[in-house]
Amino acid sequence: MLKRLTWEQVRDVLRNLEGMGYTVLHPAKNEFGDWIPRQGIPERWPEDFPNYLFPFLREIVLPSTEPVFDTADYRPIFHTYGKIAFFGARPCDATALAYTDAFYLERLFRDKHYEKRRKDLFVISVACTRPCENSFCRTMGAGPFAGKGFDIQLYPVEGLWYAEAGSDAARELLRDYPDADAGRLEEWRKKVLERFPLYDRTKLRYPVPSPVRDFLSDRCFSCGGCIWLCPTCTCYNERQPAGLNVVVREQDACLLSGYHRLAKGASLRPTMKEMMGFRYECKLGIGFCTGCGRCSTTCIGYAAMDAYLEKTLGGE
Amino acid sequence: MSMKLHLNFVNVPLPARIVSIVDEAPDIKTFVIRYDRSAQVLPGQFVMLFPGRLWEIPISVAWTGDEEIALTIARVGKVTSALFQMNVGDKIGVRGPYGRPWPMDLLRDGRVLFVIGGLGLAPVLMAFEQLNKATLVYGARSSRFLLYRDRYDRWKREGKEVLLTVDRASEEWDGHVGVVTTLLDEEIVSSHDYAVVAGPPIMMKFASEMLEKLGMESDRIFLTLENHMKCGVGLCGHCRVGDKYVCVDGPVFSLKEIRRLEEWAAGEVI
Repeated sequence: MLKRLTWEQVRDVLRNLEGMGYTVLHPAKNEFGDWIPRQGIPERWPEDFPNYLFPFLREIVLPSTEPVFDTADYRPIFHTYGKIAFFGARPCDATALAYTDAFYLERLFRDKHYEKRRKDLFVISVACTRPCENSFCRTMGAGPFAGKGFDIQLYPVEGLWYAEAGSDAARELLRDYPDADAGRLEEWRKKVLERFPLYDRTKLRYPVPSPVRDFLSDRCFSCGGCIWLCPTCTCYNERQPAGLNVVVREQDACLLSGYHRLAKGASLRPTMKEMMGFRYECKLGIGFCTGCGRCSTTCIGYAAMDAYLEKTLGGE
Repeated sequence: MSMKLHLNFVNVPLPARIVSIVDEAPDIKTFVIRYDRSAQVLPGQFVMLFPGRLWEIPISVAWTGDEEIALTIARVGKVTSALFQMNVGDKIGVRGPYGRPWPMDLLRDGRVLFVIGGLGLAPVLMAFEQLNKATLVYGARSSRFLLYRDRYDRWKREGKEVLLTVDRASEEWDGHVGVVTTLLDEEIVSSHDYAVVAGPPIMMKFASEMLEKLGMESDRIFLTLENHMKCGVGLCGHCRVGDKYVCVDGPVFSLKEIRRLEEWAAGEVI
């Protein structure tokens, strides 16, 4: 289903979602100039919004830290933000959400903590019109338009908003708006796509060539920043924090040595090279990288995807 | 708190009770726990165990009884040290059983050679006892570390061969001395259809390589991997090897499957 809306009609859709009990979040700049999700219906779409540095969609469905059960009586603890309509998600993050959905909901065991929050999340992604710093989303098939992970995907086409429905709830919300010309959207998409770099995907594969892996692991400070910001990094640890009667699950990072530690201090991957190999095995081998570029933006050591791309692709 | 609610949350343990604790060897004890899902446990599976504090650890089920599971545990790290401070009657958290079990249907069809080191006897005990045509080749550091010694005579009476070895002989030991692979030869391997290998990683590496060299095909050799598991349900990421998660895709793998993981990691299979 493809519909055509004015900006005012987009705001009507958001108002409808508010009426359905959703808290609408939209991108806004705080007083320090950082992009954050702010509650309410936006007056206008912020043209200069690239993406959030922090992967808020991941944080909504899988908080970096959350209590899971009480150690006294093993009572499950469930934490929720309530119903959220996330307006302005970027396609790379919607795609990341589709990856984590598949991982947490469609394998042998479903994670109920994740599932309950995911059911309460309505994602309205807005297609990108220009690449943001360090991104290579087109190469990874996650941008500038998402193929999955959204309820509604909006395209800013010639002063109007083309709306693609990705769920039954969205089809219901958009039902009464006029149909859009799919051919016209296709032309627009082609034009936009040309602005996005496309690298040789066959070279962005596991295994990392050893000289590249060695270069990256020599430069990595093991700060974990790339993992904190990666929209698909969801590995977690569970433990009882000292002095608390709960077990919490908290995000874990495979570039920190503690991730690989076994009983009595032994380690499965004692060297940085092995840890780096493990990370790239996941991101490129299994294919969890969306090409959003956050890891490169935050890396203090030039040891993230930008370095990987430059080292593997050379002059391309 | 309803059981249904618990079932919904795969990462929340169920309260259970310790009913007995058996000394097996120095720093190795078997904890028998009253757990109403014991009938669901298949040979080779594990449970996640929570000693009321710290965090959960995966432990293989050694044997099951009527609403009971037995877990043989060595005191190694923080959580097992906390377990060793617990007493009969204490409440303990249990989740599971989890993991791919030993391929019992396949193993029942043939003669099975168990090549086991140390604590590796715990995850194979149920499988070994359920099979009729099985040989146990079992090694430990010293005779004091040979587990479940009271069962050996029964196994022999049942027609199973039990070959024991120790790395270091004490005065009272008059059996074979040497690592477990010194008991393997072409004759014993060729008289079996399948092999089951469990023990310390280095022992499993050498034992499976030797079995292969002596003529056992890699899809007939089964091992249990003991990777670092935090959740047991394939979600936390820690036990991943290549594109497999040991807790849900394993812990039992054939040597052939493990080779494929090595090839995947080398980029040969995508």
